[in-house]
Amino acid sequence: MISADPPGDEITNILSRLPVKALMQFRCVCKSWFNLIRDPHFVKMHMNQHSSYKKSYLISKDILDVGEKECCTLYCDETFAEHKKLEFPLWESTKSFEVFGCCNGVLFLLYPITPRSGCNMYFWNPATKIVKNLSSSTVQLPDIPVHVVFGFGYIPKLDEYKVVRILYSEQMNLIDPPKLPPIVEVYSLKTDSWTKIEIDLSYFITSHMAKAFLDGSIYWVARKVNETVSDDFIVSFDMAGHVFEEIKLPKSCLDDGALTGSLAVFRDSLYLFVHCPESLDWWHIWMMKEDCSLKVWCHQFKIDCSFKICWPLCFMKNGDVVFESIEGDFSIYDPINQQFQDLHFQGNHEMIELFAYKESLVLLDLVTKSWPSKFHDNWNEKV
Amino acid sequence: MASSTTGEKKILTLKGGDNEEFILEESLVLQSELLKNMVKEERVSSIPLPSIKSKTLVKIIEYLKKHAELTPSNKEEFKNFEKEFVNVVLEELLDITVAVNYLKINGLLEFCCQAVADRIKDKSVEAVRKIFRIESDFTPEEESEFRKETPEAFEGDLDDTTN
Repeated sequence: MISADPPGDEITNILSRLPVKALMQFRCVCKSWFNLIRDPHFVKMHMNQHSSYKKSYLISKDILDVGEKECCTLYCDETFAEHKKLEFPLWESTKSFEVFGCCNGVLFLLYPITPRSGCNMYFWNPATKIVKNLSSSTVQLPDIPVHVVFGFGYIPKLDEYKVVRILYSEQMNLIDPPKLPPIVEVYSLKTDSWTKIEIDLSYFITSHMAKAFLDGSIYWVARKVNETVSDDFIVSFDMAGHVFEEIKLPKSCLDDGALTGSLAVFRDSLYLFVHCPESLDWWHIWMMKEDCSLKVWCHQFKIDCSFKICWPLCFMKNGDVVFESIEGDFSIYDPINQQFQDLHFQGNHEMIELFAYKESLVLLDLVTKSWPSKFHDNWNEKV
Repeated sequence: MASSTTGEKKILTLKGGDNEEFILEESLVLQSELLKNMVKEERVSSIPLPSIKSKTLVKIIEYLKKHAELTPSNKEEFKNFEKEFVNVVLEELLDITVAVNYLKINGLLEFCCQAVADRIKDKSVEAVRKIFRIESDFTPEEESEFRKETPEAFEGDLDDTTN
């Protein structure tokens, strides 16, 4: 496959520690480096290699006024200081994109978001500037607003990336839920195709994106409605076996069966943020533990939020929790000192979504063919 | 570990590329997976390492000695030693890295590779080629196409010698 000898172990080791920007440039050192850097094994090695250049960030799509340039912003995962703006290469003025997930340095997004029937799905790696246009599903999104749930992640067992889309036929309405069952489809990057999952889901998933992705499974909040009585629970979807599983919530978390809360992943565990019905001044944090394949929730700590109405967004690397207030300003809660620290950061009075982000070379093998082919398909490439 | 049973210290000779001999305790070289296997399987007392320059070998032996003396109390001192250890001309650091990779001294290999990465991350493509003695095997057309698409790759730090 390669004309030049592959670089030695020590070169591979050295290169696996470099930032993506340097590697994108060093591809033109020689053909063997070019082929090494796009090799899936190297891409994985680079992702897992500890190096001081691979910092953790939080990423969100900026909420801007109409007509402004749409970007994503990276925030430092320690100080929440703004680090960088990232421009989606295909963006055109007057059009909008929406991010529904982030995994291994790749964002999953929809663009343009109107009209819905003309909307495409993309994977975007901002570090390499590679954009992959996902093949379309045979089921087109209708132009009327309907409730759609997405999940995106990497499945270690299969070594591949998948998207799950759950399409309801009506808009979400918590009291009068949409007609069931929805259409469930899974996209596989390996085959670049969609598969319909034959299942009659008897509940509706209230989250519209999956921010909780762990070990190849996605977790959402779901609801069953039986004659005005809600029954909220967590649903997991195993992206390898395509199996849904219902997980009960702690009783004390529910208000007449309804949950006010969200899910997050932190240090390889699933966490639940809950506004308890007894006192809305407190947020309770629970962690899911697996005990002999039985899933149990363990209460971790609670946060006093009596001074303002705010909503937990995610964990930071050090275990602090990012909160957004109803006015759109941000604060960080330190569970050890039990203190809030205000951030000099003003959102846009709209909830933003934050995802953990670390730059990677993922998707690079998709675009660049090995030698001796021409490489005019490298930058800003739409595959 | 064979030597620890009797209590007497086994001695081993390493022969560098320029035939210079280095006599050291066998327990020291056990940090190298390659030498450990050689010593264990073949019970040799002298190992020729023709591909490794004596100058490089001196440095590596210096590290092995320091590392063997590492205790929880002199951790800081060892860290400083490591920092100084890689503070050499890039060419020499590369020789050490290649040798350490060959000898399979894992902890030191990780440290050297990161040190090289730190030194080359802002270099230009031209400088990297010189540092690793790599000839471009791209055609001039391919090269100019790359230059057009990633001009910044050719604008980095052109220094191909030390820092």
